[in-house]
Amino acid sequence: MDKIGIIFKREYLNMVRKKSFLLATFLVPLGFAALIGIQVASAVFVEKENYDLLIVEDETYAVTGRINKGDNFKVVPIKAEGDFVTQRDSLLERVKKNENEVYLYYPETYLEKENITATLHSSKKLSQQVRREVERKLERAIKDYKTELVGISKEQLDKTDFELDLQTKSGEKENSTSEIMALAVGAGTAIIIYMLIAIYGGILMQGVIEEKANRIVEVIVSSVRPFQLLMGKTLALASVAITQLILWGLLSMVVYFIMLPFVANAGIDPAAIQQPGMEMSASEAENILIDLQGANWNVLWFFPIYFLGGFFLYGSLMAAAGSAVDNIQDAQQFTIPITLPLMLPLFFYPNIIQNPNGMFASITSHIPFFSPMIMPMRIGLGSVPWWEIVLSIIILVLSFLGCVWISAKIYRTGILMYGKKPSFKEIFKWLRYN
Amino acid sequence: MNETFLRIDNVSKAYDDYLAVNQVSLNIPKGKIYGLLGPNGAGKTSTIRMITRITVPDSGTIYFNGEELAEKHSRDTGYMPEERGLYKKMKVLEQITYLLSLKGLPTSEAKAAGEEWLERLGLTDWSSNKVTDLSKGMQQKVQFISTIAHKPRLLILDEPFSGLDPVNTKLIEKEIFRLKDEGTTIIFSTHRMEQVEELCDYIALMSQGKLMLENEITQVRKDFQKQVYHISFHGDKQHLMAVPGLQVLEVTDKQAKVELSGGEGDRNDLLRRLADSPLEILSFALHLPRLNEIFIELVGGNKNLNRKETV
Repeated sequence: MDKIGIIFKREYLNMVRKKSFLLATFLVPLGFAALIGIQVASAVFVEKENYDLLIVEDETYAVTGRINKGDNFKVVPIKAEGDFVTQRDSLLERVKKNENEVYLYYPETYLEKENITATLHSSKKLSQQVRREVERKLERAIKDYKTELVGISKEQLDKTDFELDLQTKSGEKENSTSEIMALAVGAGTAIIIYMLIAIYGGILMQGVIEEKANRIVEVIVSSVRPFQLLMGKTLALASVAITQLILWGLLSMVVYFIMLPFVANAGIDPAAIQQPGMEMSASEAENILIDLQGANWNVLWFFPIYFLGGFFLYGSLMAAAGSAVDNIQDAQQFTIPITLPLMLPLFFYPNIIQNPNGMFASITSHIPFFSPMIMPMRIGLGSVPWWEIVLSIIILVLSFLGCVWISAKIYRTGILMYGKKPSFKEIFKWLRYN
Repeated sequence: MNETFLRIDNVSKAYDDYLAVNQVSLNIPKGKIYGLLGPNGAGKTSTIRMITRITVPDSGTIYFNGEELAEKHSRDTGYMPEERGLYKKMKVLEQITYLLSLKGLPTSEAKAAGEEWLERLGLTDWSSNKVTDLSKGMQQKVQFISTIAHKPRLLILDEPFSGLDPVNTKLIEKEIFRLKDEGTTIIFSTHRMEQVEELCDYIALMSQGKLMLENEITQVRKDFQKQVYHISFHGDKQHLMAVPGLQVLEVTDKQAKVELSGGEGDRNDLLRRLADSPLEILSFALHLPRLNEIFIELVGGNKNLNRKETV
């Protein structure tokens, strides 16, 4: 164990001191910043939309009547007529036929309630900017109404705060913001796991080939067991990957907090970036950042488990492949059958997004070669039964132990073999050597 | 025979159907230089890899100073493989320290030992340079330092002089003798006979996985002594051919190498017969066999020299 530690230390320090590591560590958060920048910019320069917002002049009009013309809509009051339910149904029918009309359904005044729900009905799916503008104006209206009617000061009002949930309903399928964020976080995690395994597995293989080409490996294995060398290297690279990830996280947070005030400032001064035909909606940009905060980050707890499991599984096989050859070109024959199952889950994603708890998703998230890329995605997308997660982790752990065992056997023979490239048949024979 | 430091007892090792080492027993005496000889594919490297615990024997046992070979003996072993190298981008002292600490030396001791040896071999100024900055000769010195700086009791050198220039060869030779004087047991594997004659006290000869002979080098020479003589002469070489009881092995106009057919007692008889011939004999000397000849005699010429070395 002691010797694994010595090898671990050298390999780890050797990697994190490399220019390529530092470059990647600092460039990715900058990329993240650029991405937010682009998103914010694209949100800032959205084209103005033009809806008629239908509001019924019933008893709730004391609140809703306070909503005035917005950037994306104008208010069209409707006289209250006859039965409330009949009128609501006829309005629902009406907006289904008229694409440019939106009906705000606000059922009561909610004077004392903390959770207020209202619904926007439309024929087509509404954009977030329209939904948010209505939400903002409605929120303002409720606050004003409460202040005026109850006579409480604004200060007190903050204490009796409320949550407004403005839902949208249309003829089309709705994806709530939280669903989109869940997908982004789940798929993001899975893809990062895929990338880290592919990149660091490749680095591990390259390191093994280098030690063999340098002819230093026989010197080392006369002092330590080949298994200790393999483990030291694998653990070191796994730690480097996690170090990089933590640094990415921290730096991204720094970038985020640096960018926040700029985004907010843009909202205060709308005249600054006025362009013909385009309208500024800076609060839209703010909302994107707020959405990031609100996403379901629980999946991150599973990240280390699935990353490490996948890395040991694929990394050990890549190391075994590297040990069998003298140079990186010869390695290709062996890496293709390894990288294929690593990439395959990327092609399963459409199916899994469609039905994250279906049979296909369930089966593939238990196959150890796929689970590191699929299970985090499913966890991000919604509720996976706990036993499925436990089972997939157990299968993954057992499989990577098996892979490490087989790889170590190939590795200890491979590193001492020079000359012609071995066939798969020969490599199978190595498994029997002592 | 001297006290045995490393004993290899009836060891075999097979790869697939290929028997690399076939029931070999060796007794390597303490504080001596022991030459392990043989053509490529004789099983030298396979034997050494079992001594360094890189592989384990299929059968048989290896005893290190009386104890069965185990993990802890790696601390007392220094091994310079034929296929050797260093991390190209690592600094010299860092590299030596790392390799020594893998042997089980505490980092501070490893560093001190490395510094001491760099000083001795005149490389102190290069301590914090990367290995790639060094000349080939300097790299080989660094390699040698990382093999011996932890004061191993058993030192195994597989073709240590391959790729060394004459200056460094002399330098390393000097250090090898010094280590021997300090009591280090040294196994020296090579197929270059002139180096063996210069360095070794004992030799073992392997061929096709089997041990052909093992003995003190002086004894080996005696054992293979034959009735072969060098003669230099004046006169027609045809007269030499006519001398009875004599087989001419090689002949030029002035010199010949001849073998006496018959026993030792006939040497004076041969001299007499030569004196009787019309030739003027200038010198007459016993031929001492070179190891190379013994080697070829035992392994049967070149027919197996090209066998591919596996593992």
